[in-house]
Formats: sequence, C-alpha cells, structure tokens
Amino acid sequence: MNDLASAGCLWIAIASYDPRFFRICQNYIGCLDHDAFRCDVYQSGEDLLAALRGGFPYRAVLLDNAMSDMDGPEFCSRLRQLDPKFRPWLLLVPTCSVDELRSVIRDEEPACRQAAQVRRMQMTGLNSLLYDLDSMLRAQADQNDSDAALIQLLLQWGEHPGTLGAQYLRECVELALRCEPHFAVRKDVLLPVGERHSVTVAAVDSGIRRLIEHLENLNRPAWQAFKRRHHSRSAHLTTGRFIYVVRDELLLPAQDLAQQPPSEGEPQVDERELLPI
Amino acid sequence: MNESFCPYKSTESPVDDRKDDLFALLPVHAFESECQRSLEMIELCQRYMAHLVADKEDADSRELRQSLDDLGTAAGRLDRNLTILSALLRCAQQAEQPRWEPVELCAFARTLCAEQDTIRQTLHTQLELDCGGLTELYVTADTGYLSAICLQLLSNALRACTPEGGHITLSLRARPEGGAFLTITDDGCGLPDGSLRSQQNNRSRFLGTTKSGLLLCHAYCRLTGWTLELSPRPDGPGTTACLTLPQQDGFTPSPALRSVTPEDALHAARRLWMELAAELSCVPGMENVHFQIPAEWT
Repeated sequence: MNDLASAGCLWIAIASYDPRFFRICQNYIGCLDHDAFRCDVYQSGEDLLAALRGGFPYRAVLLDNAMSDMDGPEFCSRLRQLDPKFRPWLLLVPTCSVDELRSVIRDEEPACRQAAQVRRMQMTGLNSLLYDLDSMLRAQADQNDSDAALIQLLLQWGEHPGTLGAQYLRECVELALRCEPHFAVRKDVLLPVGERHSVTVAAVDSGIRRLIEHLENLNRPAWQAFKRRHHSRSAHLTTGRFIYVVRDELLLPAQDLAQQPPSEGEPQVDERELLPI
Repeated sequence: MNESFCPYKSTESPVDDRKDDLFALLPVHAFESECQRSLEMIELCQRYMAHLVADKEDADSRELRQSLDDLGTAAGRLDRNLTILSALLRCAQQAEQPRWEPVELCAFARTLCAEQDTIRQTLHTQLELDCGGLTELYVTADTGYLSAICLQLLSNALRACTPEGGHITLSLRARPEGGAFLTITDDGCGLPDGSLRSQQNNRSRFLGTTKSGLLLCHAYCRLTGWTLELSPRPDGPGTTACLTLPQQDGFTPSPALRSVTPEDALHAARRLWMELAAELSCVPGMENVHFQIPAEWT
C-alpha cells in the first residue's frame, strides 16, 4: 500500500439517491486503505457538479444510476460541459452502460485536446474499481503532484497532513494553484473550502491560523528555512500570505528547491543515506 | 430448453437461420431458475454470515450485520426486478395462461392489509380496508396475477405517499353484473400531469424502480380480460387505481365450486403474506423492517 505521508489522501465523491449506495461504496473502498481515501457523499447531482465547478479536487466520482435530481447519463452529459481541469480522473458508472456513457463524455473539444496537462477522465466499473483507485493513488504519489509536495512540506515542518488545519491548507492551496497569479483569498479560496466543509470562512481562516501558530511553536529548521526563502522570518504570517507563499513554494521549479541549501539541522547530502529510514 | 435449439450444434447456426425466432427461443424458464438459484445461494450465505455474528457485539460484527442488511435489500430488489422481467418475457412469448380458481376477495384484501400497523409506524401512512359491508366475495381469478397486480398497486401507492406519509384506501365492491371492483386510492403525489414539477415530484418517489411493474399489470389484464384504470383521485391530490374483475363465463358461484378448504385458505394467506412482505421490503423506508408472520397463519 502507498505510504499516506507521501501519497496524500485521495478525494472521492459518491453520488446516489440511495444512502445504502454510499455505505456500500465506502466499505468497498475501505478494502484498500481507510486512510488513503476521503469520501464525500452527494444525493444531488447539482451539488456535486457545483463542487467540481468550484474546484474541489475530487479525483474519482462513483456514480449510481440515479441521483435525487438527475440520472447518471444526464450527470455525465453535464460533466462533459465542465472545464476538463475540473473533471475527476476516474468515473465509476456501475449500473449504466459504460460504452454508452463513454460516448457521452468523450473529449472532443479542441480545448481539451490542447490542455495536455489536464488528466483525461477514465471510466471504470466495479470490477476494476479497486485496481483503478490504487493506480490513482500511485499517480497521486508522483513527486510532481502539488498535494504530495505540500504533504512533504508539512511533514518536514512537523505537522501531520491529516489535521484539520492542514486539510484546510491543502485544499486552499489546491484551489490557489488553479487560480490566476493574483486571486482573492477569501472569495476564490477560503469561501469554497468553507462551503465544502459546511463551515464559515472564519472557521477555515481560524484553522489555518492555528496551524501557523503550531508551526511557529514547533519552529523546526525546515519551517525556518521556508520562511527565509519567502522573506517571512520576522513578518507575521497571515492566512492569506501563508497560502500565497506555500503556493509560490510549490511553483518553484524542482531544481530550484534542490539547489536550496539544506536548512539548519537537516542532514547534509552525504549524510542522508547513512541515516536509518 | 427447446429441443430444436441446441447451442452446441456446430453444423448449423440456429441464430442465423431463425433470427425472427430468437426472442421466442429465449429460455425464460432456465433463466428464471438459474437466477432463483443464485438468489437462494446469496440468501444461504447471508444466513450463514448472520449466524456467525449473531451474538457478537464488537464493531466488526455490527458492521458486518449492516452489510448483510444492505446485501439483503439489494438481493430483494434484484429478486423483484428479475421476477417482473421474467414474467414480462413469458407474456411477450405468449407463454402465459391464466389458471382460474375461486378466490375469496375479502380474505385476500385483509391479507393485503395485514401489515397496516407496520406501514403506519414506519411510513406514517394509514392503510385502510373498506369492504363495503361484505364479509365474503368469491370471484374466479388467477391468484398469481391478482397478487402481482395488487401488490404492485399497493407498492406504487406507498411510494407515492412517501416520505410525507398519507392515506391509502383499499376498497372492495361486488359488481352488480358479477365479479368485483378492487380499488386502491392514495392521496400521494398523483399522476404526472405533464408539468416539469409534477414529473420531478413523481420521479423522486419512484427512484430505483424499473417502471415495468405497471407494464406487467397491464399484460396480465390483457390475458385475463380484467381492466386496470389509473386516474387522478377525484377529491384531491393522489391517484385511484381501479381493477375490474368481471364475472368469468361458465363460472357459477355455487357453494360446490367454492372448494376453498381451511387448509387451502391458510396456505393462500401465508403465501400472499410472504409476497407482501417481500414487496414491502423493497419500498423505501421499509427495507430494514423484519416482518413477522401473523400468528393466525403460522
């Protein structure tokens, strides 16, 4: 199984009119690794489409044949109208004809073909669901994946990536990475994450501020180095500035990061392999 | 299997030669029995697993019991849908023939309403029986068809009233010219009137169904000469479904033909109750009800 710390959690949306479908899918997915996946459930297709449109990083959508407000084929048709970058990587259609739906969601738009960096949505069935999810988890573990990189940062700073504040930060940064270079922190980032968790913007802000306080208290060398890189050694980090600088950190070319001198207390290059894992 | 169609014959291709007969050659009976066997195997496995965790109270056992309930619900729906599908296939193949027998409709209707307390408690829907003062009413009918139609109509009425709850009346009347009227009236969502709102309202209450139950009811009516009319409830929202069972030619309702012995009646009531429990288990909100057969039929 993938290491959660390196791979991060994979967000899955389950959509059905039937609460039993949620439970059965969650139990089934639990066969892989309870900690590797986070499932959200949607009875309304409209709500799920709105969440995807809002940029929530659902990598997989497990679709029943109907939701409270629309059928599976209609949902797929609406999904096709979404910007490809907002679509999930994997779409489970257990009770509809996969071939029929594949034709519905086939990416024919030139924009999609041009967007080479956008991962093309794959269809899956129940038989191959676990295999496909496992493959996605491996893909998520890719070093280039921004969330995985942020998880690495959090671990270096001494923070578990699964805490509430860390979760808020990861989702905010994920959204920030999809925004224009200059974005409105409250409107474009905090608000969608708050809606996603059914909490206020203030609650998300507070969660991230508590995370910053915790990191300041821990004050690990990696945290100090991070602040130095972004000239934040003495400046008070607000939630908005923190999201900006974390985003900038993740956007730094990999080689730039590699060229950074190891932070204080970190093992030197020639020491690393000698340390126990 | 049909003797003239052996899939293992390599010298000729019956499928190519007899394309028009392909549907007629569909072995519905084999399909049914194989599906039934699979469902029974699922049930045996369920019972075994339920036995394994029967007295355990740890978290894993509770989760397993929950999964077994979910499995039971899914299997029940599958059973229902396969039963309807195979019955429709038999009708389409003209392989169905009604089997006429005397049926006492008052007892039949009482059995249909046997779970009215459970329905009231779980769905907040009041199911009322109105025999119009009749204590017994004999007709000649195919019991299987009659049960299938009435259970389908009852199920539809319950769904139409769910989740708010409502009122359903099952009324029985003798036709002056012989036979009977069996009417199920509900004050639920009503029939779609063509507006988007009513379509959505109707759709939300019949999610998870295949819309084939009424098709089967009409198929049975064509075979028997019965009529089934669905209409808006005259005095408010809801639907009235009226099944007319005309007097069968050549049938004289004499005591000699009312050859329903107490044992037969008990057996018929028990079988109908089993079908009722299976049907109710597929109604949203009643999936986890554990039905207990009434003491008088045990």
